[in-house]
Amino acid sequence: MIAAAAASNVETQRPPKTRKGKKHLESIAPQWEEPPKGLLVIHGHQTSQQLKNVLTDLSRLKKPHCKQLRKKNDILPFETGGEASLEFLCKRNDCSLFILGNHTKKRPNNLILGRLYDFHLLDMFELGIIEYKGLEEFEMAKQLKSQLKPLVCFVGDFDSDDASRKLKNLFLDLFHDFEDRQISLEQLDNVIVISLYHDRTLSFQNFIVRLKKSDTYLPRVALEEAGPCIRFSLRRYRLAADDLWKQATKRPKQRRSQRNVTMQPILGRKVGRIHIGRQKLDQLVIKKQRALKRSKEQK
Amino acid sequence: MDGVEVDLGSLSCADVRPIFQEETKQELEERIRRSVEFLVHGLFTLPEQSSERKSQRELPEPFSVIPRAKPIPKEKPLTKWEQFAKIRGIRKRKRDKFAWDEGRAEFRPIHGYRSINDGSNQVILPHDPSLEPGESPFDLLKEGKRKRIASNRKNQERNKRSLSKNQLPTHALRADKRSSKSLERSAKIVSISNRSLGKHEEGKKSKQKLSSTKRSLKKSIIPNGVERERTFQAVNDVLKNF
Repeated sequence: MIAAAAASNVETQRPPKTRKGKKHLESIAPQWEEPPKGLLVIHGHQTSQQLKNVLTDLSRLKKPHCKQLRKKNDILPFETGGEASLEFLCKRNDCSLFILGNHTKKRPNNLILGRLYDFHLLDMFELGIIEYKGLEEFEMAKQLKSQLKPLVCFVGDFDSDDASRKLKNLFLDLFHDFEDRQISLEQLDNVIVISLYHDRTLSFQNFIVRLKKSDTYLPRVALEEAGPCIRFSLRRYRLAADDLWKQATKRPKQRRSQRNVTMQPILGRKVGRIHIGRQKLDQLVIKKQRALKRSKEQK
Repeated sequence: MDGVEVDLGSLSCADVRPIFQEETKQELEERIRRSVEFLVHGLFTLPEQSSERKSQRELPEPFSVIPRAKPIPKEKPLTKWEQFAKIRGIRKRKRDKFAWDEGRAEFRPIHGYRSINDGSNQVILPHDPSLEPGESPFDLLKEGKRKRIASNRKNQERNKRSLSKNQLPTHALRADKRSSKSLERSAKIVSISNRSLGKHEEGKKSKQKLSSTKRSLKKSIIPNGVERERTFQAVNDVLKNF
């Protein structure tokens, strides 16, 4: 294990030669609070026009945390050893989420969604496009504000088995934004809806949220569809190994600031300050003294 | 509301009731609308941040567990100075890079090339009575700088060493330039290493400690009489069979 730890450090330990290189290494180094994951959009060895449109639409929703590779990449991640070049590309572009589109006779209009942990493949799902209505075909699409946090809504029995549970988690990973814990209520713009149907097909929709006045201070919500609208069928999938998943979902310990503890300047010792309550002097048990005794006359 | 789970922290909601075949599009859209409304109401009921920004809300911690992209960074050990500063309560404060140079009437960098106190270009130095005859104050300045650089470099090396205590040397070092201790350590690491970098080792081999063996003088000296006893024991053991 020691050797393994050392080997993984070899790469990070190589000192940068320029200031620019140092800045770059700092920007991609692991952090306690992570920035939003980047999405890498990859075109496979063959893509249909429909697939290209889907990839463009999805990357538009994920802006600005998205990178699209325009050239063909002959990657088949479900084949043995096929994930190596995928991991390489993701590492190069510092993206931990990927969408790969490829079109074959056996699996037409194929979309592979997946994510990585420490640039090793965690899990991925293969989705086939059944129906597609692009962003261009919706009137409301022009009103979509970019770079806003979308709400995510799931409809259907996603909790029935492990695969659909992980698929739900993956879609949340794709579109949620944990970076900023503050939100302005005026910022609520669109909601991404993913539904799981009885025949194990999925639909992906995007709605604009309209807040209407109501009798109470809570608004009434109306939804207007603003593409894209895609219907998927679930094909192959690969789930994360238990230990890797466990490792990936480990949360950093909350660092609490120590209160009432100071360092003694010279000796370097810790000094703690504690508070004890008010001393009850009247109830103090002390040796009785004859002089303090009340005399018979006083009684 | 029945069947709707809301996670305000991740701005998501889920209507976990299954979708049936006979459900129409309108019914489904109403279900979506209701669950989104439930989420929006949840956001509206969060406490206000301030009276100035009434629409600002702070999201609670999300309870959906999302895997990280990269591992949690390990904390670096403190350098010797940082340890000292922590004990003394010395805080790092940002200092200006430039200062006003009275003599030259311009701003100059405090350290480095063309800095204010750059002694290398000084032509005249004030007389120092403590100097012995023949000693050059210019040489003394140079010597001082050389010493400061050397000691700083030594400290840097020391911190680097403590940082990489449990790690293999990252680049090959000449064996004759390394101390016997560090060579011994490397040999130990190599002896328990394997091709897979310890990936498949879960047994005791991976847990082998790297501490060097300590030879004690006491063990090598056998007390008087013990050796004699041992020999007799061995002879007896052999003779027993005859």
